[in-house]
Amino acid sequence: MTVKNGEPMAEIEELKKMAQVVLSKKGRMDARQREETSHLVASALANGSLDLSEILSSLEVFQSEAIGQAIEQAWPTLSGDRREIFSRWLPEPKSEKATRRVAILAAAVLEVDGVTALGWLGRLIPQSPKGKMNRETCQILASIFLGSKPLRFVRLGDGGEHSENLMRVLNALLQVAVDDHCAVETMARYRLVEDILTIISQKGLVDSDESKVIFTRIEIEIKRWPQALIEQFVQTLQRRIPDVELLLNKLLPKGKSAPSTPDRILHEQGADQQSEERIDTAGDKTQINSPLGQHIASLTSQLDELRVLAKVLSEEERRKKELERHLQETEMRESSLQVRVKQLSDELENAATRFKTASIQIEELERANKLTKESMEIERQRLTQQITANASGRVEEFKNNLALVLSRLIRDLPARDAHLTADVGNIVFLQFHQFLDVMDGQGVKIRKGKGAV
Amino acid sequence: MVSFGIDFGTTNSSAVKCVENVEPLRFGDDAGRPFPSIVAVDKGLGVAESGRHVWENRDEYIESGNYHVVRSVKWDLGTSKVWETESRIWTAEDIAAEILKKLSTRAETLGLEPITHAVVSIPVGYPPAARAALRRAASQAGIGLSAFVTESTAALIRYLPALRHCHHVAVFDWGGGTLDISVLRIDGQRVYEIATEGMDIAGDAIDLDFAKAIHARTMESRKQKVAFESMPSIDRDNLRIKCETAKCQLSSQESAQILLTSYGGQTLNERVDRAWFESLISAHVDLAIELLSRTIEGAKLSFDAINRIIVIGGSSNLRLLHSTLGTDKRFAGAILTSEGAEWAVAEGAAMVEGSKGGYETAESIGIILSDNSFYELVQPGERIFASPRSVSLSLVEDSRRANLIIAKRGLDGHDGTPARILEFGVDTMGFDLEQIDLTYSINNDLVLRVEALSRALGSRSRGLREYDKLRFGYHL
Repeated sequence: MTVKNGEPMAEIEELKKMAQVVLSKKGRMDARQREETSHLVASALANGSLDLSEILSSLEVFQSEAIGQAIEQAWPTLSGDRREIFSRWLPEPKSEKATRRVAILAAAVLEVDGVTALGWLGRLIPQSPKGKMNRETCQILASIFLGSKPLRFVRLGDGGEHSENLMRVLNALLQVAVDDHCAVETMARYRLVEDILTIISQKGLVDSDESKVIFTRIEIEIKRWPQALIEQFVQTLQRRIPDVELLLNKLLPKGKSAPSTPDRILHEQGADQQSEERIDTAGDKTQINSPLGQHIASLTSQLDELRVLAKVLSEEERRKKELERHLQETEMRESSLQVRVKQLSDELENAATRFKTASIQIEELERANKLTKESMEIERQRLTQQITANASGRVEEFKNNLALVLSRLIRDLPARDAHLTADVGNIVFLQFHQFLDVMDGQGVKIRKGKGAV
Repeated sequence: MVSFGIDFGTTNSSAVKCVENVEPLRFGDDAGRPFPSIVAVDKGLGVAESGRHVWENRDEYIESGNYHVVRSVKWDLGTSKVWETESRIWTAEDIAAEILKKLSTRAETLGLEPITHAVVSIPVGYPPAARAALRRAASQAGIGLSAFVTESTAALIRYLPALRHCHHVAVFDWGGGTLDISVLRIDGQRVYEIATEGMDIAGDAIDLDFAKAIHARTMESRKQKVAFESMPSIDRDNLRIKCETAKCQLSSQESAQILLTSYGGQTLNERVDRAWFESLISAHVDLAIELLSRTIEGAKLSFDAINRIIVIGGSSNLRLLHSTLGTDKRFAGAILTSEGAEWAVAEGAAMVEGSKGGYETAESIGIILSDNSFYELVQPGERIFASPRSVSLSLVEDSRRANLIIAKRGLDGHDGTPARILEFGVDTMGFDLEQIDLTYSINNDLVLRVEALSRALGSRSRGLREYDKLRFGYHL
């Protein structure tokens, strides 16, 4: 779908039309529609002449992913007012859908506007330090911010905003990342930790109270990493942060800011008890349980996960059987279709053969027709010649017959210079009358004198 | 499709070309009459002359001594007769070919194409050797002979549309040289000749008798006693021509005048009335009608059984013939005449060539075995077959010669005792049950050919016989 420049109202109409379509499909959108919609929305948002409220009213029905793509494109071009209006349009995260929409949009603007992203993320996280995020919100944040697509969390520290909100958001993200229920990949956790430490360091909040909890979580998290990753972590931080040693001293055991061997790590893991005690001494006893309690919690968590996994496996098994049944049906259909295709192919071949035969017959008939016409013309000419020849011949025959009859009468005609006696003269005279009679009888009318009758 | 028919007559010959939906084209002499079947061969030059001029001056040609005048080569075919000239020898086939060439040339002049194939009519009982010679003569003239057809059958086929309801038809063909009468039976799609008769008294004989009678009257009036044959040939030719003309005139006029400026050195002026002329020819007409009667009786039919009498030929125009037949209770009402009667046979032959019909045997042919039984070889109604068939026989006597007897039976196959038609013997080794191979065929010349040999002796024992008097039916 394209939108022509200079036709602002057309864009609104298009958006409305698209909204109607999506509405009729109960909010379902395929990839192509999402793509078109995102372009259309981005174009509309960027067009300052359009009434934003009209645009936003249409956006209600679209999927958040489509709006996210659009806002990612359009956000840098929006004026402050329009950004403000858009921010106000965002729903309160009272429902899972609303939470998800805000999270997606926050992720979308993170790259281009970390401050706004921080603001929108802040809406998802309870204001009270004691407040806990519910499980759905954790899952949403994990899937959107800590999924396969890496995000640059450092942009969250772009603004000069009060550090309390920033730290609250970072802590929440970290909490989600290390939560085993959220099953965040190690590298995603690693990137988040890197970015959080970078922000804290850049903001000069290393020694703040809010950092302590974060550091504790990071310290525990680091212990789960392989040595190579820890080494990479140290190197990265050394590049990013000038006085990183101080920070590393908070996260790693003293004198071991750059652990280099697995033995070291194992040793450190074996010294969990000591570490726990050190954390306890850090002051947040509510976050750290005794090893047994942790173990029980871990087992309970693992049990839950296994139950979920069993349920998932059962569901997968059922789906597998269903897919196998579908596959079998599909194979049968395919077999049937192949037979039908073969039949159609044969019929097509037969039809082609018949067509070819018919074409040949038509050509033969045309040739025969041509030959017939030619032979007709030849026959006509031949008949004409024959009729002419026959007519001439018959006329000739008539003359010859007349001559024959007359010659029979005068076959004894004396020569011109012969001496005629009276008797001979009389005979010649009578023969002359016979001659005339024959001429008359043959249709040659000769006018005679009165005495000649 | 183009088809040709040729009436190769004793006195006159003619040809007809038939093309679908077109009136038949007739080819004769250059005066539109049938072509005289007379040929004069110059003894010195070896050149042949033919046509009406030769016919009308035939006595002069003959008496000049410079020509061989062949008046009816039809009956010379198949014989060893030849005519020697200083440059070459003319056979009967050469003479016949000369006539056929003239007809073909005439066809080319009037119809733009020569005769390349034709059915030729022949009399019943025309000898096999003559048929073969006629076939060769036609070939010499560039004409492929498709088949033979008897003259009477050809005439019947010419008038067939008017004869569909008829069972028995007589053909009365009175030409210049002969009178041929046939009685034919129409049996569904087949035509059988069941009786034929003929005589040599025809138009030429009537003209001659007429001329002799005028000669006698003239001699009487002159009080002279000179025989007709003693008159100069030119005078004889002139008088005969004048008499032929008068004969034709008397068919439509009450009298005719015969005029000659010189006949025996004096003028001749004789007025002939019809009554006198008809009294002169009444004997010929009575003879012809008597022959008709005899032929019908020979067919073992009553006169009432004859549905139509087709009267054709140049002499059939005689008024006396028509009046006599018309008043004869036996034939009144059955006479069928038409214009162009002298072309009827050729037209019928052309129609035969254009049809899918053909001859089939009218009689059963078989061999008489040693127990005097009749072993049938050919059934009545079989189409003629040029490809030989064979049958094996066994010798039952201790004899060095096997006698073979071929016989035929009548139309219905139960006509009493088989009539023997061929008897001949072949040499054998005299073994008991020695095998004798017999092969037989009926060729396109309507000739039965039977050949036998002892298998033990091989070809040196071969015996061959032909029979040409079989009766055939024509399948329309």
